Amino acid sequence: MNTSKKLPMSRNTLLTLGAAVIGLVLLFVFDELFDRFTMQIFKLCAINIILALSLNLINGFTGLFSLGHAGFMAVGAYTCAILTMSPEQKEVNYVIQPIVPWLANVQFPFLPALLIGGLLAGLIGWLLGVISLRLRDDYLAIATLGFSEIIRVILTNAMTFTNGSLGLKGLARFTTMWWAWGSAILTTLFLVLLIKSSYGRAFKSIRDNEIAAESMGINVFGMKVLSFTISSFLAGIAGGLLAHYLTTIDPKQFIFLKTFDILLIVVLGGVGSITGSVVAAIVVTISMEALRFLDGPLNLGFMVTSGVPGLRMVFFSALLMVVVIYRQQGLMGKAEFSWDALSRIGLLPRRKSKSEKGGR
Amino acid sequence: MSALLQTIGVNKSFGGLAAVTALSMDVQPGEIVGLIGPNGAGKTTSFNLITGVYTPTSGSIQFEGQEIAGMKPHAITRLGVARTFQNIRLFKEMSVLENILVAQHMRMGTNLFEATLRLPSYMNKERHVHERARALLAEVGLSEHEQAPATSLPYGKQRRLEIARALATEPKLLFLDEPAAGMNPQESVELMDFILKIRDQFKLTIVLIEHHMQVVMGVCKRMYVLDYGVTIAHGTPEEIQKNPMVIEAYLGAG
Repeated sequence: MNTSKKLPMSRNTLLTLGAAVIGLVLLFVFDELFDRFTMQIFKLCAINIILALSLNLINGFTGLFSLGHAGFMAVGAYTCAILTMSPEQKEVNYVIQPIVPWLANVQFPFLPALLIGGLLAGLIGWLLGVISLRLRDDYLAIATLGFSEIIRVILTNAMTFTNGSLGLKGLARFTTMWWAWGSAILTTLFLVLLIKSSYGRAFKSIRDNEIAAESMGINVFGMKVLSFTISSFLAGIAGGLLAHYLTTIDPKQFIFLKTFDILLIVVLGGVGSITGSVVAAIVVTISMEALRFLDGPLNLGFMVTSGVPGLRMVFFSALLMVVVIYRQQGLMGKAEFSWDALSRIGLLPRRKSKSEKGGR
Repeated sequence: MSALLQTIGVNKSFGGLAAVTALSMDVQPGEIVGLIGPNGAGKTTSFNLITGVYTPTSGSIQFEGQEIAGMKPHAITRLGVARTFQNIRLFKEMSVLENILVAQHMRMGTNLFEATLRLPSYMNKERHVHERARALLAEVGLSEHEQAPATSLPYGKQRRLEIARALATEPKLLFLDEPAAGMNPQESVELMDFILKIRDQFKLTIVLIEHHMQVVMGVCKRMYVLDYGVTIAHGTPEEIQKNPMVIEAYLGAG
C-alpha cells in the first residue's frame, strides 16, 4: 500500500523496528531494576492499556456507548482464576459451600485458562450484543450497565461457583511483567491492524452515519455485534490478567466504578484513538499511585488535614470535567501516532523523499 | 419486458398518517424515471421503502422478480440497489477516498482473519478496492481531493462524492434523492450530462427525485407525480406538464 515500497526498508519501518528493540530492552531493564512495588504499577499500566483499548473499540471506533466493561472483566477474572486454582486451594477457599464437583478437580495452566476466560467473556458479550444492540446511545448505556450489575449479583450469590462475597484468595502470581506487557503489545498490534483494515473502516462508518453505512451495504447490526464481541473478549483477557496480578478477587472489585476508571482513561486519551488510550492508560495509572498522598493527611501550610480517603478520585473527576468542557477530543482526538506526524511537528528531521502519504 | 423494479400497492402509514398510499410503479432496465411532487408528498418515503429503510405497512416490492419488502437495507444494497440522500450523509470523519472504500467492503468478500493478519489474499483485495476507488474518483472529478476530509468539500462536490460512493457498491438500480438541490442552473446542466454519462457507462437504471423541473424534464423519459402520498399522474414529461391534476397540486386549485 505504501508508495515507498520500492525501497528495501523505508525509514518508517526502520524507526518502528528500532523503537520495538528499544522497548524490549527497556522492559528487560525495568524488570531487573525496579523494586516490587514499582513493578506492580508498571504491570497495572499494561492491563489498563488492554482495558482502555477494548472499551475504545466499542465506544470510540464503533460509536456505541457501552458501560458494561466491569462485567466482562469479572467473567474473565473469575473463569481464569477458578480454572487455574489447584484442587487443594479450592478446598481451602470454598469454606461456606464447597465448589461444584465437576470444577473441584479441574486445573489448567495459565494460558488456556486465560483464553477460556476471554472466550467466555466474548460469548457472553456476543449474547448481550445480540439482545441489546438494537438499542442506541443512552438506552444501550443503561442496558449494558444493568448487565454488569447482574454479573456482579450473580458472582455474589453463586456460592458454589464463585465463593460469593468471600472472593477467591491466594491465586498464583502468574501475571509477570512479560505476560502483562506481552498481552498489551499483542492487543495494541491487533487493534491497529483491525482498525486499519476494511473492518475498521466499516466500524468507523457506523460511528459516523449509521443510516448511510447500512445503505452502503454494511451489515450494521452484525458489525456492532462483532465489535462488541471482540471488545468483551479482550476485557475478559484483561480480567484474567488482573486476577493473577492481584491474586485476590471478589465481586466488589467489579462494581461500576471499575468501568468508570477505564472510561476516564478512554476519554482523557481521546475517544477513537489507539495512541491516546495507550498513553492515557500509562499516565493515569501512574498518577493514581503518585497522587496517593492526597488520600493521607495533607499539610496545607496553615493547617494539616486529617486523611480523606478517595480524594484522589476527586482530582480525576475534576480533571474529567475540565477535559469534557474544554477539550472534548481528549489528548489525541482521533489522531494516531505516526513517524510522519513526528516529523511534521519538528521532532524528527523531515524526509526528503517525495512520497508524502503512507506510513502507519 | 420484465421490469427491473416493480412496486404493487405499497402503503406506508406512520400512526394515523398515510405517508404513501397504493404506490404502484415499475421501472424498466436502462430507464431514467423521475419522481416529483410538492414538499411532503412522500417521495423520500417511497425511496426509503424501496431501499429498506422503512418496512411497508402493506404491498409488494420486487427487484428483478425477487420480493424485497421488509429486507434490511444492506441486503437490498447487496442485490444491487444504491442510493444517495437528500440531506447529504457522507462519513464525515473520513477522507474522500475512505468514503468510497467503505462502500466496497460488502463486495470485498473478506473475513476478519485475513484482514487483520494482512494475508496476501487480503492485500490483493485491498489493492483492488483502492484502484477501483481511485478510478471512481477520477470519473467524478474528485481525484485531487482524495485525502481531504469528506465534509471539507464544497457542496456540489459532496453531492458528486455521494454518487461515486453509491456507484462503488456496484448497483444495477440507483436512486438519487434531489441530486440538483442547491445547484445553480449551470451546475444543473452539468449534472444532467453527468447522470446520462454514468447511466451509459455503468449500465444503470436510475430513479430520481428532483425539484428542478429543467433537470427532470431533461433526463427523464417517464415520471410519477405524488401528492399527499398518492400517485396522481404518470407519463412522459409532455403529458405531465399538461395534466390538470399536476398543475392543481403544484399551484393550487384556481
